[in-house]
Order: sequence, then C-alpha cells, then structure tokens
Amino acid sequence: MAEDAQRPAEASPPPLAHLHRYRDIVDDFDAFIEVADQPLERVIWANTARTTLEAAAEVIARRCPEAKPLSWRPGAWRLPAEARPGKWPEYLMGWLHGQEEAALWAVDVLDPQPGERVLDLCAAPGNKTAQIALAMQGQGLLVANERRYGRLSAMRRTLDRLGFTAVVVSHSDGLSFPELPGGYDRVLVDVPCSCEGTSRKVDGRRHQGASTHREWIAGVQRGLLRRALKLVRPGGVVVYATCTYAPEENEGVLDGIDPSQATIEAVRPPAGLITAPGILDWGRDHYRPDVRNGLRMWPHHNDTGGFFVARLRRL
Amino acid sequence: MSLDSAVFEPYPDAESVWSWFEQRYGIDPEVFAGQRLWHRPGAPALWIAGRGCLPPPGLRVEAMGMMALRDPPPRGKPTSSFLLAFGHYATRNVYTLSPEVALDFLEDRPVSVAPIDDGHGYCVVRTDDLMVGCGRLTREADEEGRKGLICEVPRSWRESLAGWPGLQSGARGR
Repeated sequence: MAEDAQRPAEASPPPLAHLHRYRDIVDDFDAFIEVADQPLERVIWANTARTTLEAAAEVIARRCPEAKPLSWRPGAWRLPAEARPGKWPEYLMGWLHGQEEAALWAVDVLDPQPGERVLDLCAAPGNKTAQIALAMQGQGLLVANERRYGRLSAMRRTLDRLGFTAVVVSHSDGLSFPELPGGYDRVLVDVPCSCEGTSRKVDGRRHQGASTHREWIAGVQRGLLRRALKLVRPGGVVVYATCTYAPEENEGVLDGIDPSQATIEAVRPPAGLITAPGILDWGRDHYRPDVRNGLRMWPHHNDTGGFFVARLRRL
Repeated sequence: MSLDSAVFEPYPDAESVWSWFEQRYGIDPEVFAGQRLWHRPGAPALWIAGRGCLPPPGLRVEAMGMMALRDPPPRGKPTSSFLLAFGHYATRNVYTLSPEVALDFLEDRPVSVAPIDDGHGYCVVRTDDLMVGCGRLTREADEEGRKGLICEVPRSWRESLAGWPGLQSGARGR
C-alpha cells in the first residue's frame, strides 16, 4: 500500500479523448470538446396532426417557462436538460414529441410530400418516422422498417401515441429489403453508426468511448445506402444520415457510390443553422468532389449533438 | 411473433364497423372516408390505415396503421391510441372528467360516474382539454372487485405519468 501511495497517479485521459482524432477537421477544437461534454438541452416539437402550434406553445409556456422556440425551425422548442416533458399529460396524449435537435433537420432534407411512397429503412426508435408521417398528412404510403425486433415496440408506441395511421411497420433486414414495383419516391437511410455525436445525451445513453468496430459498421452503412439507391425510383431522393463525426462513416460511405448511379446534391441549411461541408481528404483517403455537399453539424456551432446528412438523387 | 404481409387482409365488412362506430360513439362514418380496415384472419383485432397504405409485396409487416379495435363489434373494444386519434369525433358514451378525477382514473382508482347513453361497456374518457383514452363502465363489480369507470389505457402509457402531481393542464411546473 505504501508503495502504491508513493507511485505517481496515472494521468486520466482527457475528456472525450476518442474525439481528438477530429482535431484537424474541426474549426475550433477546444470549443468542440468543451461543448461535446456538456449536457444537451431537450427539444420537443408539436404534433400539429393533433393540436395547433398556438395551443402547443401555450402548454409549453405554462409547463416550462424557460422553454424557447428553436431559432431555425418553427414548431419546436428547446427545454433545459433537466426538464421531463415525457411526463406531461399533453405529451402522453400525443400533442408533443421529443427528439434531438441535430436529428430534426434530416427529415426536412428528405422533404416528404403527401401522397408519396416513402421508406424509412432503419426507422427505430421512430422519431424521424413520426416527422415524415406528420409531413405526409396521412396521405400516401410510409413504410417504417426496423431490423431489430426488440426496437419495434418502442417505435409502434411512438406512432400510436402520436396517432399516425398511414404507416406500415415492417421487420426486415435493410440490406435485403424487398423492392417496391415502381420504386419509392424517397428513402431515408438513417444508418446504425458509432454514435459519437450523442456524447451530450443526458438519459444514460451518452456515448463516451472509442468505436471498436468502425470498419465493420462502415461496411453495413455502405450496404444500406446501396440498397436504398436500389429501392428509390430513378429521379427519387435518398437521404443518408448518421449521428457521428467519423469521415469513414460519412464521406467514406458516400464515396463508395458509383457517380453514374446517384449525385450528391447541394443542400441549403435554413437560416440560423450552421453546418460544415463534407471533407475531401481524411488520412490516406481522398473522396469524390461532391461529398462536399454532405453537411456535418458540430455541437459547438448550434449547441446541439453531432450529425451528418447528405441528399442523393438517383440518376 | 412475426407475420408475413399476406396475413394482413382488408377487412371484408368495414361498412358494418363504421356503422357500429356511429351507433355506439356517434362518430360520423365520413370521418373514416380516408381510412381502410385491415385484419389478420383468425385474429380478433381490426387495424385502421390510410387508404394509400397498402402492404408492399414480400414484406414482413408488423403493423398496418394502428390497431383500432382489440375485438370486433359487438364487443368492440377500442384501443386508447385509436381514441386519442378519433375520440374527439365521438358524441355518445363519452365521459368528461375533471383533471383530478382523470388522474384517479389513470392510476386505477375507482371512479364513480352517472351512466349515460348505453350505460355500460367501453367508452371514451377525456377531460375538457385532453383525450385520455379507453374506459369501461361496469354495472356490477368485475372479477377484481372493481365497479364504476375502469381504466383501459395501457399500463405502459400510464407509467409515464408516474409522479405527476395533477393532470390539470398547466397546473404545475415542469
């Protein structure tokens, strides 16, 4: 024991050491690490299929006076990290739904329309599915697929609570998902990923460790994106999304798409939302030029989690 | 258990179900003009899905829209999720509770109400502001000795309210 006491204390690793690999691709590394370690404020949005924006705003103001409307997106509010909107009666009754702010934008990029045929290939826990269903106004076909059976019930609870009926919930492997005659108009492929962008979550799912299976997961992501491009009709839109910073899981996956099969379109973020363009070089890898159209959300830019989104159009 | 999409089939007698909703709950069948009923032959539940919602071929379908009735008419037990979505169209067998009594209801405490309309069976429960879900009004004590308006809202939903001091809209802080 005495020897131990004399031994110099082992230096503990710096916070979020696994994110230090992004030092060269982020504009302000210190700000990035500092913000990525802070608890994330909660965001809820109004289910306008069940209530009005005005009524939702009134309820939120009364339940949580500190709530603030999002600057870049109407119908959504930021709440302090310690708020528990999931316990509000109005939440239980489907007026409101919680979702991470960084993830909200992916469905805006997908831009689903009433009457279309839309596929959410990796849909659980169903938050983006719910956004898509709301945008489609109960018209058309929305297929929400999830490979892992255990995650289906949470997704169904969300869709049931919010009251969407124009959704088919399916349980298939996204890599071999069956084609629809005529194809889907739009496909969201929000792939499983290393989740580095969720380091700020306060509900016990904070991701703090280094990814030990990046190569394997990038292979799955490539397979899912390729399948999505097979499932969408020519001229249709595929949105690829992750909640990680890793270029291997973002630009590297986009780079694996044959340019004759799909283009990566430029996407304009809404006023008030700061994004960074995709990078062209990472280590020894050099990516196709249009991966710059993929957009990364760093936590210190908008005080959110991390996210990456790209819109592809099948040729 | 997973079932193939072939197991979900259009319900052959949807019109009788829409009529039953009108008779029992006063819901105008026009409300369901954009919807279709589905079932798995041999299973009692009826599912409601938008008209454009057809099961894609070759897919393992777990849900078509939402489950509307756990049992078809005449027993006709509506799910709470169906009532949250369509209950505000109901004009019969609707019990409007005060927020405090609605919380008693959700916490499985017996609630006494004066019977209206059909006087017993499954009913719509709400407050002035909010739809609450499905209740069951009994004339006699049930097998668990409960009598009155009994909560049929899924327990997993109700647990979300654990610790909430009152159901009155906006009555308390966050």
